[in-house]
Amino acid sequence: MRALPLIPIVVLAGLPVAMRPTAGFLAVAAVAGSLCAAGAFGRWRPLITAGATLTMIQYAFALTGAGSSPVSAAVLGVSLALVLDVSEFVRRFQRATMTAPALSRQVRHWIASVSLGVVAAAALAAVASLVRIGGPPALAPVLAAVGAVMAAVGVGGTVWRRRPESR
Amino acid sequence: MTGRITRASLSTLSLLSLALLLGVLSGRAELIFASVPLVLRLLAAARRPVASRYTLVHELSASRLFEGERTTVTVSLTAETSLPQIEVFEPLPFSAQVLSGSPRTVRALAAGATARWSYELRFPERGRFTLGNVHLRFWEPSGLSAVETIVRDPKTLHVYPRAAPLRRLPVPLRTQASAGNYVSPLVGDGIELGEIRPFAPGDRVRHVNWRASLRRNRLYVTRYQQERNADVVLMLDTLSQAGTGSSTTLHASLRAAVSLAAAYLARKDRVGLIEYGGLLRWVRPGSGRPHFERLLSTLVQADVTFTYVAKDLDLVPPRVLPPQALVVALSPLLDDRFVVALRDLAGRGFDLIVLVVDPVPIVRSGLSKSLRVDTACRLWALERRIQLADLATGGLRIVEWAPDEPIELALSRVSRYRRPRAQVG
Repeated sequence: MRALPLIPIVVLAGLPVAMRPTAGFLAVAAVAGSLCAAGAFGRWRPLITAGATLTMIQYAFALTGAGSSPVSAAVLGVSLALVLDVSEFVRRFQRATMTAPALSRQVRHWIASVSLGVVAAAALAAVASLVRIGGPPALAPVLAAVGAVMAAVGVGGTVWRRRPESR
Repeated sequence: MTGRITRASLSTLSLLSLALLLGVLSGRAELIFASVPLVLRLLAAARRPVASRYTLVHELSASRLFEGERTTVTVSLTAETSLPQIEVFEPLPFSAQVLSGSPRTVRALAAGATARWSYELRFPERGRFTLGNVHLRFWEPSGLSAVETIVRDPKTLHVYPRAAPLRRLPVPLRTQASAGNYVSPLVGDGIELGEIRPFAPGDRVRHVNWRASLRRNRLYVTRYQQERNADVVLMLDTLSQAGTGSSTTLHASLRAAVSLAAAYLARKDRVGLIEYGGLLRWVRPGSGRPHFERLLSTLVQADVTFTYVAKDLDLVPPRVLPPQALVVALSPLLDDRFVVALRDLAGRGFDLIVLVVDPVPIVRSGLSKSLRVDTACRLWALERRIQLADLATGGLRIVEWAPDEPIELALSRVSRYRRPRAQVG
């Protein structure tokens, strides 16, 4: 069970290399994958975050000059979420006895998250291709930045409203 | 119940922010699409948790054990509402060993379902432990949020020092009035033949010895020796100890005390206990199985409590320390205040035996082997030999006991110092 996070880690680290198969990308992907794997095996979450961050930056570089690739975006998003989910699952239930119903329920949750993530990313891509923002093109990054900040604040506010209660 | 967001959500939030930032900086919508699964993950964690209803029963197969014995903990959980992912964990005492099963389990239960599991624990050290505080954690499947609660059904588990069977015991010099196993020098009712003497007014007819009377043409009566019990008071030194972990002089003293108490109680004697340390505690002499349980409960709590105060034995009521009692003191003799108390007892005429638990091998076993340690231990052993010889010269009956040798062997050396008037029947 400890090796379970390796599957999404390989997918996550391999995606930018698949998009741009060069030695430099391969080396960075190897570092990112190693960081994630070390974090998963060492049960140290910051390493996984660091590896995922490196992969995401690498993905952003891989996109430059490439054509539109919504499928790779969906794969990246889903594998990113799975890496976090699976490594967290393995970390928190280390040395605990896991019953078969609990494990099958967790696997069902992963399948549902993957399906939902793919569908939602595809839906967003479809909507984005249909809806174009009017106005001068220079305004687009500003609008995107405002949207990104609002989304981050909204999600953060929703999450941190339920901070741990003191005991 | 306490709901909380775990630190894993911070990683998700960081990566989400990074994806959005990179999307804005690079002007590529793919990074925004890639952030969608992360947003869904966070939104799932932000949902209000559904109140879970359940019944948890925690059972122990035995609540009183001797060192090294096992108990089985059985937990049964009945879900009244669906429990998609529940983690059940019971914190165990440090010294407990899990032999089978696991005190930490993850389960998924449908509404109305019941799960029952058990695990076996072994307790190698004496102590009083509390079990039954079960921690429950209802996880959101992504692990980003959890609701925690503790089901408190505390049960006290007593782990008593193990008693070694003793066949030979130091015989008390003085007996008490109650019936027991010691043949008293006094004649009266009993089964051991005492004397045959001429009939005197007041003698009962059933005591007439007809064979002697016919032979001598005069009435003779048979008298028997009385069978009496004795009071034994175990005096435990809790002023100081040597050693570490479960290998200390106090642990050894406790095992000896339990063995002595069990053996004397089996001989119908009354056994009392004085814990002489920072806290002066005692148990009045008594007999029987319930009294043995009382002694064990007191002994299991015995611990060294530091104090500068020298306790006076005058504080101990005479009922706890009867004048005719045999006092068996168990001590490593590391604290002079205990030596003073022993001299006080001997001066008051108590029948006193000092079982000295040798601290040198105990301390030595906890140290790495080296020439320096070896020399230091030998010097210490020599110093102690001189100290014990001084005490023996002062009138104390001292028997040294190395805890790695059978206690019976040490007790057999007691008889060399004593001339018992009574014998074991």
